Amino acid sequence: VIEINERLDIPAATAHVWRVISDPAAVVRCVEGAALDGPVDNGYLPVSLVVKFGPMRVRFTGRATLTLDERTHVGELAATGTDGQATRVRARSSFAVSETSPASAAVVIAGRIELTGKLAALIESGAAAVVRRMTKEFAEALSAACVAADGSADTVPPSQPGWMRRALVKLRRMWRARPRNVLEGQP
Amino acid sequence: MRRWEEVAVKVYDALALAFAREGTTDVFGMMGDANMHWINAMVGHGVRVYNARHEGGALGMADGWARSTGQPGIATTTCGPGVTQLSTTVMVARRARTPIVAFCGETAVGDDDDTQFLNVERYAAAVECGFVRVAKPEMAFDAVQRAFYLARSQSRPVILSAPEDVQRCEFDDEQTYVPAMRLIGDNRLAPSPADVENAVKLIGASERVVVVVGDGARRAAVGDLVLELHELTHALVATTLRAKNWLRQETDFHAGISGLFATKSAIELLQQADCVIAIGASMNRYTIEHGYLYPAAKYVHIDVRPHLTMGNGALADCYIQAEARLALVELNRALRSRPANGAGYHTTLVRDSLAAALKDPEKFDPEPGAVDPRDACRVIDEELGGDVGLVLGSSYQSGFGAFLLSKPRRDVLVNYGYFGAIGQALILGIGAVVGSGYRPTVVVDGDASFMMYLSEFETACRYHMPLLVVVFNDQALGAESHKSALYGLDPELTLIRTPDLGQVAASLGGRGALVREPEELRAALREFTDSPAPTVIDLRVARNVLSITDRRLHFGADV
Repeated sequence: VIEINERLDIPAATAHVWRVISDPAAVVRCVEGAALDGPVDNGYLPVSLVVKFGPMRVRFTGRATLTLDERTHVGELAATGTDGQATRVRARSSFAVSETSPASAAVVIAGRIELTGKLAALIESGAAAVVRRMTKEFAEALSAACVAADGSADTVPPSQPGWMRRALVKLRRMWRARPRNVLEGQP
Repeated sequence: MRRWEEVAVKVYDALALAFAREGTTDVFGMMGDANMHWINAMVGHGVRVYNARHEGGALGMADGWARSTGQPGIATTTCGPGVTQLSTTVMVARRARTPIVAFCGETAVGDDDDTQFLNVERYAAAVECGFVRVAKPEMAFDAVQRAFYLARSQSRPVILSAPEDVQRCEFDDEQTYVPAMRLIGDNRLAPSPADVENAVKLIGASERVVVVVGDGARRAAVGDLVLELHELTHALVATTLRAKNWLRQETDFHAGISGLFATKSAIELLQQADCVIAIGASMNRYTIEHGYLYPAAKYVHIDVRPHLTMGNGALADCYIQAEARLALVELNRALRSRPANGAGYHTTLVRDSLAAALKDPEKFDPEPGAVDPRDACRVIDEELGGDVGLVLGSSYQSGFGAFLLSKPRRDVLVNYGYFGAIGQALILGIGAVVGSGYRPTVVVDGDASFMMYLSEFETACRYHMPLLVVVFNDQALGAESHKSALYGLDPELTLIRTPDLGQVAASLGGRGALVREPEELRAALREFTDSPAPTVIDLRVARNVLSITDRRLHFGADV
């Protein structure tokens, strides 16, 4: 089990930070090697992630759920996946965005990643180092994305395929419409 | 030599005769009450007996001899405590699939109160050995034949247990001994045409082919056919660790080792393969990294054994049970009429990438008076010709050699990964020297590993062996030292100082040198090549240089 406990201080307003972090496509763009593999399916996002363990690339495919509490700016991301070689990964992390000044926010992330199967034995303690590196890269990319955010809530980059753009807009609206105490009751 | 018909023949005579008829030329062991008659009889048959200092060492020598010659190695011990000394080395031989017959004495039948009594059958099972007992005098020939049959056909160590009282009985000399090879025969297993056709279809649908060759292919001497196959399919050639450096000089498209010891460039290329053709390679978890090294590849697997499960738990998409030469002749014949799909791996970019692959750009500052082990590997490759055999141990420091020693050599024996036991390289090296007819050989090992069987260096001296041991001496348990730092434990607890091992070697009857600079290493290596003799180079290496494999495994480094 790999634990993640990170605090990111981002020089952007809380609303902008929350907008980015509650946008699955934007978050995925901040994770190197991650991709959305299709439209939302029954509340789940099909995702894939290519991770470099040393020089070796391992591709995980799976699904993720993102639950958000708009009022408190707290969310949870849960994902499960496999790599096609009998290794399973389960990740669950919570995050909270809080204002530290009118122009800056803090994002506190706490999570656990559990890797079971053949890969776990193969990469030994290097996995934790890889996760640390990816977390750092994610923090930098997220920070840059938040700073660049222009405040347009439903703007999706035109580079996204049409079906994905429609799906993301639908997903975002769905999240806004449903009860938002989403840390409970989600798989 | 004793004339068979002139004296009453004892069972130990018959047992020795049977070993001689099996082709035994060299025996490694220690004499005791329960094997001394047999040893004397073996010498009577012109067999050379090498007296070791420890039974485990003797079996390791037999292991090295067998891996060098491809024939069953012979070790001998007395009963009870002599047998139990075998434990670690016999497990190593088992995991390496080395055919060995160990002639072990046993206390008299039924005398379970004898102070040296051991239930050998249960012991053999515990150490994963085959077991045959000379239960009755008239069973002597049958027992030896069965032991050799098991060792050869199952490629594993077999304990031939001979109770002392049975050994001294008279033997019916009317019997004729039939060597086990006559039971096994030399029928060459040809590939089925349907399997070859399937393989051709699979290869024909592929664009990036990797040919992985193992020790089975090397022993079958099919290098010419492997090279033709790689030309026909525009493939990369990679080896198992055991076949390290084989064919490296024959093609620019040699990717080195398939597995953890692959270079970064090689791993990135191998991961793009859509077809792997394995020849005489078990394709275990280390060779294919549990499957992660070839995530999208189909497998064609050629081996004489029945269908093997690979290290990813899967069966090959096309398995050809056949002798390597026969299978490759048929496969190449079929592929000649089918052009490869594009350039495959045979591009300038791939060639240049592989050529630069062994350079490790990471900078470390070695401690004063210590050599960077990467520099030491380079100097060894530069100074020792390809006719000098190489034996690599399984210590942390040997890992540098497994990665970086890239000079093609006539004989390479790698012991990495067989039961994970340190201490084996020197004794394997002694056996390899004998098996190769006293060709000069270098053993590369760590200090803790070398010290474990230090006494056997004296054996090398006693028999005037052209054996060089380069001890990569970091004065610590190397792997544990780095892991201690990683886990927040005290690395000081892993430090074990050694004396000057060059002086120790001289005291044991050999030559030696203490080396702290690359140029001192170069000079010491030249002294050995000028006049090969039992030699230890105590090479003080920097403890703070992390191996590439450690950087990958513990720090996830992209190196």
